Amino acid sequence: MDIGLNNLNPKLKIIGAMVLAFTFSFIKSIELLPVIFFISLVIYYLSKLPLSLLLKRWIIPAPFVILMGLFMMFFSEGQTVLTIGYLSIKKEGIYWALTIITKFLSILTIMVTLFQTTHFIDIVRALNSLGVPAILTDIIIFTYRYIFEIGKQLNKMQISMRLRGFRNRGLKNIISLVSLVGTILVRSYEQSEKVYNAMILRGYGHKESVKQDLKLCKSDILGVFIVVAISIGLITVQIGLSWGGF
Amino acid sequence: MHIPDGILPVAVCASGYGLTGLATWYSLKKIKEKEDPRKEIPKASLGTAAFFVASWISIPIPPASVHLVLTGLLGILLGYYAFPAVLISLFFQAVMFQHGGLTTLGVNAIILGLPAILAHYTYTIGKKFLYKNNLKYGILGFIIGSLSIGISVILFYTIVITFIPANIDVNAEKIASLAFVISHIPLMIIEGIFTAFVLIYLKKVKPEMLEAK
Amino acid sequence: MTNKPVLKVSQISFGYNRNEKIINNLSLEIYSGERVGIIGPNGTGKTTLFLLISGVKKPSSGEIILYDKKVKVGKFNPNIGMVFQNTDDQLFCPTVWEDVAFGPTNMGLSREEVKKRVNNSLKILGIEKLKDKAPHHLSGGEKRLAAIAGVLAMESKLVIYDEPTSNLDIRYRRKLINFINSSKQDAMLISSHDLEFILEVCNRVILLDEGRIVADGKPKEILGDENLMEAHGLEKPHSLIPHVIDHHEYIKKAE
Repeated sequence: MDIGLNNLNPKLKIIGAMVLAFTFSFIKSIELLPVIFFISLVIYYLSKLPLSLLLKRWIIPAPFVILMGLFMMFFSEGQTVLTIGYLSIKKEGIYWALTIITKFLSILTIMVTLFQTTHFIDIVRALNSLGVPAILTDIIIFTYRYIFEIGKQLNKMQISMRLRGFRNRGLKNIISLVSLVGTILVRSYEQSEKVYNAMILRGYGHKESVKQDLKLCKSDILGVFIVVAISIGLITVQIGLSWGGF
Repeated sequence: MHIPDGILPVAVCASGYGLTGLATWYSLKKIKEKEDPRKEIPKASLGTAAFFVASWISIPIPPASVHLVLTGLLGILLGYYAFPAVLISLFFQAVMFQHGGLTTLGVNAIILGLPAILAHYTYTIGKKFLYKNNLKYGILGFIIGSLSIGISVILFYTIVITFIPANIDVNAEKIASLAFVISHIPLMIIEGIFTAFVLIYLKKVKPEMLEAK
Repeated sequence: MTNKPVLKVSQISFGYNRNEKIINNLSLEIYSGERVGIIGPNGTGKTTLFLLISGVKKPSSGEIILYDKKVKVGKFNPNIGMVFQNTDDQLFCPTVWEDVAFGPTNMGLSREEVKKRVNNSLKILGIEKLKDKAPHHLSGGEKRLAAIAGVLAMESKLVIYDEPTSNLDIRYRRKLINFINSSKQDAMLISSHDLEFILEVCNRVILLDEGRIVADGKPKEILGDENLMEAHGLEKPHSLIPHVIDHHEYIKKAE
């Protein structure tokens, strides 16, 4: 079944992703952990993105989360199940570690799916149509444009420094590094005045910004319906399990 | 210093978004009150972009290397847009690299953005008395730069340890908190030194950037 | 050419502080059909003059009238367009398409009209295939054409080009020359250090030095006046030097 995640309305993708992410965040019963993990993997599968990309995204933040998991395993209060030297692993600790690792991976998978199937500009437009003020989305769009430009300038400056014998030895070269940072800041500041001139010459602010209007189609509505149904289902089961005296 | 998804309860994440929304709304209100709000937009955009790029510079401190955060400097130079700048930077990290957290975006913005706001106010007061003397001005920069990180570290740790779902053994908690804070002291010092020197550089090269916002 | 000037600048002055005047009591009239080259050494106020004429900066004295209306500082006037020297200052949207659409959108035109104008401008400049590209992926020449497209889409009557040939290779320089020579814009002001370029595209030249107009007339006459040019930090263009004597040194390689 090909929902065609790339073509879904970005506004609804954002809503769907946030609803799922917060729903997963709400889950704490061990029975539901494989369920949320499975759902996130299904959604990733439907996006047709490569598995290698997902694994790459999992690896970088993994150390911190694993560290937290280990911390909880060894240092929670509760019933010991295994002793290794001076340290003991607690039953509750294992449970909490599994919970946070599963939730983390599931939500990260949703995040990867959302941002890798939606173009940056579409996300910003969707945010605007969801009510984020135009002044903020304008800043975001222009910032995006200039990150690359300033990044190029930084690169050129670093090459020029290297060609003149600079080797980055941390604090020993602090003056050079400070000049580098300072130059980037000054240049950007000066450029902002020129960009402002260019903007007002082409009428920026002359007309009230029109709120973006993204049209809905059948598969959009179906997608959101499915997500909301899943979320309500999960939340209901979770509440039921919590009352059931876990 | 980003709290990943999956650790904090939903209520905390939602509150984070709420507070972030409030702080952002307030900053935008201040921008709209300016004489020509349109002029502020390229300033905010280029400033945010510049700080985002500056954080790519790595400083080798054996055995590892450190990336600058510069939230103190951000607060000093960008004034009211410091908070939206932090939020936007985190947003970019999420969109481009899926780094930082989707449910925790609000909380992370508070952790980094709140010190930036405090830096702005501290600077505005401190500048009046300390601008003329380079040494005193540098010390002001050092304090703002290092404390901005310090406050973020404390906020980060406090939020994690308070809201982590497990009950942690008290002694372990104490040792962990000490270890966490101590391990960040080198970063605090480096940020403080950088902030001080960059301020002195800007004072010499482009003092109008340091004017009160 | 009609008798009434499209641009009338009367005794304007401008300086960032009281003592230093960048533009000094300058007056100027531009007529329909004129392509005016503005030449002069660096720092002589060319860009500042452009910013004053286009209403970005306010002169400390004097008045500027464009198409019979007084130029109001900060007010959007699509009748005048400016192509900036550094295209990165001007291409601030994420794609070429959006950047070219920026002006027409702000003019309040309908979506269809904006689309039509953008497509038309891209076509005239031959850069349709660049429409979805990000500016930082473009070469210097492509950026220049994209910037011109953005101004063209506004259908401005008076267009200012500030150093348009800087960072252009021969190919793009030629495209620019062809574009300007076939352009239907009412009047143009073009500043450039590339004096050969000025000779090819302009029908009037103004020499600016220290914020004042020093000479104003036919391109060949002004650029060909060696003494005048050298007195103001410039040089007579090479093509105007009679090539009677072979002064090009050629180093013979050993057999």
